[in-house]
Amino acid sequence: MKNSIIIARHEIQSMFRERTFILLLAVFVAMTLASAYIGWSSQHTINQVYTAAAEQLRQSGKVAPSSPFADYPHLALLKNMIIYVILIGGLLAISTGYAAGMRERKAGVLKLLFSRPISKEDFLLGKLLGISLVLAAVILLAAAISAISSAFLVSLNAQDVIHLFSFYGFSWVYLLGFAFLGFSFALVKDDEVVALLIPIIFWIMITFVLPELTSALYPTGSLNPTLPQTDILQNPALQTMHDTVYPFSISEHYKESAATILGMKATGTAAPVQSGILNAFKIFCWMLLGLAASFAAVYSFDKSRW
Amino acid sequence: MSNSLVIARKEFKDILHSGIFLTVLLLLLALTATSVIVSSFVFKSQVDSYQSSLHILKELGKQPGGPQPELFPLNLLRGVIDYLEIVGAILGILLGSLTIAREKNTQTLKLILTRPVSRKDLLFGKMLGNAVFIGIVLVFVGSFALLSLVFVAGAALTLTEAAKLLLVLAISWIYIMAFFSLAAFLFLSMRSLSNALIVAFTIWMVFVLILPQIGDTMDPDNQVPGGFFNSIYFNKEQEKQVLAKFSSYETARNFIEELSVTKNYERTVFALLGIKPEFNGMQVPDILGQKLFDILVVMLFFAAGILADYSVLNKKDILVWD
Amino acid sequence: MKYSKNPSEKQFIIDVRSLSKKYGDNFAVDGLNLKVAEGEIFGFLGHNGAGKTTTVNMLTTLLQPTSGGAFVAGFDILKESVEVRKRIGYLPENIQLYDSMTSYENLEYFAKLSGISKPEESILQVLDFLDAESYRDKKISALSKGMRQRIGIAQAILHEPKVLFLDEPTSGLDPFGVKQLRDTLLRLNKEQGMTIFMNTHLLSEVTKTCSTIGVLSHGKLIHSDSLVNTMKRFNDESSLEQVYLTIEEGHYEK
Repeated sequence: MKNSIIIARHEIQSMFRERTFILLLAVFVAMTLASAYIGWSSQHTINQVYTAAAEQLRQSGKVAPSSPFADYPHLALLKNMIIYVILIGGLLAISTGYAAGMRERKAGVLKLLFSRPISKEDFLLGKLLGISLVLAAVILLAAAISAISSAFLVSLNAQDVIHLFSFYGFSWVYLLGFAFLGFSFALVKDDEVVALLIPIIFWIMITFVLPELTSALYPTGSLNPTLPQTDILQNPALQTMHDTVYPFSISEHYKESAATILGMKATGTAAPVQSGILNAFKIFCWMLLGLAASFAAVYSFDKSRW
Repeated sequence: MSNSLVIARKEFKDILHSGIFLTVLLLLLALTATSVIVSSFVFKSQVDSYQSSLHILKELGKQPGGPQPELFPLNLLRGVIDYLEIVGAILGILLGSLTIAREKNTQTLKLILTRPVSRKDLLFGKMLGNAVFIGIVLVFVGSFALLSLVFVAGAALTLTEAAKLLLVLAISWIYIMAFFSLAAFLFLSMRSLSNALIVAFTIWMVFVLILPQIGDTMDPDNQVPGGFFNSIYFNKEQEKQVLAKFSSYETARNFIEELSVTKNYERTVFALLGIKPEFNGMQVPDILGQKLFDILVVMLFFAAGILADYSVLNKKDILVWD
Repeated sequence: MKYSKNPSEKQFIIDVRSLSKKYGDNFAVDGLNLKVAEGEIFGFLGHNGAGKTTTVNMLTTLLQPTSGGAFVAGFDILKESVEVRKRIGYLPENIQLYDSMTSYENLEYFAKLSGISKPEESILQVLDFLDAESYRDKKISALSKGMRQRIGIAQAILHEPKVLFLDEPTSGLDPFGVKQLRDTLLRLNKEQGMTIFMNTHLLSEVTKTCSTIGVLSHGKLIHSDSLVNTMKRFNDESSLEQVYLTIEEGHYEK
């Protein structure tokens, strides 16, 4: 255990010295800062657009339907964060895990490391702990930024703050899955580029391809945090495809659960959304899958190879 | 010139031999097919629901109100374009990075440059080999899309539509080559290959995903599933009247979108494919004329990439890698 | 093979004039003046970081000097770099080549880039010369370090260069490989009249191979003479190692 902590501490130290990590972190932090403002400004404008549209309807003697934005929850202004976690967070997590798996290989110190009295278990635990803590620090930073920036724009109550931190905690679990995947492939794949490419292909499949299959969403449509309109699922072929693929569509489960945590059910959807607990459970399973891949990678890799 | 051809030929052979490209090509073809199939189902379901409401209206003895949904086959390619935007750019990045990584890993760039080969020859050869490969990939994707349109959606293309499809492929080619030259530049300038790859992916994410996404989520119409204006039964004309009052907001939104070359590419090809309905009946030269600015931006991005590659390759100290 | 040999014309095939390369505030090579006569095997000695590789990088036109210049085979490395490159061969330290290609494919590629349009005959001749025909269709990834080195030399001499630059050619080779390399270089020099410029650490090899030596220390040339003269000047020293250490130490004391 002591060895694992030494490895984890080294991991955290090295990660925050890596320029690429800092670059991705900077993009993530910048977008976290921007998201509250983007959310607030578009909400603000859309309310005015609704007022103008309603006015036009009244002038032509028609009855304006009630505003679909009337009872938006406070935290809805963070809805873009859901997408940034999926996009930037996903890539950041993959690169964190990848760097952790690649570090000893690239420095050529793997043999040195294992010539000390260190077991594979120590190594694995240390690395996983390091990765998890690095991402936890990133997530905490983002949560703090969101809390402060939202507090400037709307009045948050205690419950909002709890929900906000739960959302980020939940996002952390989602991202760990990607980080562990990046770590596993960095350990087992010979080619540096292929090792990074495989988890990225996974990420593309999860983020764009599965949602297209389940909800007939255009790939770029997956980037819109507003939940999809799914009445087109009346088509039996699409329905079958949806039923088959949906259980595996991790990013959709994440989006739905995250929206629920932020109190955004108000946007409404015709999609057969599963219970929140089942969704959250699947995200947890996704993280466990990444964990299992890491275990398999560490036990199968040959220490003497690099 | 003959040196460039030697390099281009080797480049092309290398690409064919490496497994990554078969993977990305298969991925792209699978995505194309999926996309067309899903879009056709969606269209069929729209027709079915129209037919059933028509049936109900007839039984009630009423005349149908709205027009029957009309199939513009090229519209079904929207998802394919989305994938070219996302995965096509990744293909460009991969090719651009590997063409440099291959030489850096084996130190063979040093050997090549001690032969009587100019750096211009080297750059041109590498570009040519990859350009041909990307061209072939696009021809595959285009033919595959065409076959899917004919056999899955049962649509036949007119000659004009075929010409539009060709133009779309040509612009996609420039778009992907732009990402190729960007990645080559990063790999030439940076010491660590995996760092260069992560930086390339970060830039990709910002240009391809984040900037268009900001513009998209700021769009008032996108705030409600199915469209805000649709939900209050506004037509295009009424929508325009309302939005005219928010011109500065719309300008800001448009500005953010314009920052991304992907959006320029998307606007051009969406116009050609008639995904924006107002372009559906328009002649090709008129569409190109209207989208000239967007086309120029995509070309400029590519040109800037080539210049950057050339200037960094021409910097002699670049060879002190080891 | 028809490598031109012209021992009667003793001219300086490498003529370095005040060559400098600066990185930041540090000179990697500092005002280097050096002449190597045609047909020599020149051993370029120096400690790690002395500037030997930087010098070779500049002479092979891979690197732009900060100031000064040089002529190689009668051509200016700055203004006539293509002409220089037509007349030189180069073997970098730890040659790797394209792993996924066979020896023949690698050689064919570099031959074509050297302007040989139908390279098959030259490749077969060179492989025969190096006694390496049996590796012809083997992938580079399947070759041992010594075999790879031989294919590396093959690519460097395919186009019959006048000067062959070698950067630490013995590094990582076993004694058998070192002997084979030495024999090859001596034959190339003797049979083809090729001038050889070799960066090296291995003093025992210098004694057996080189006709002249230069010693570089902190970017400056501190000694240059024929091996015979050098040994005579330090006649109280028993080996080249002693001589080398005396030269370096003498320089430090200054």
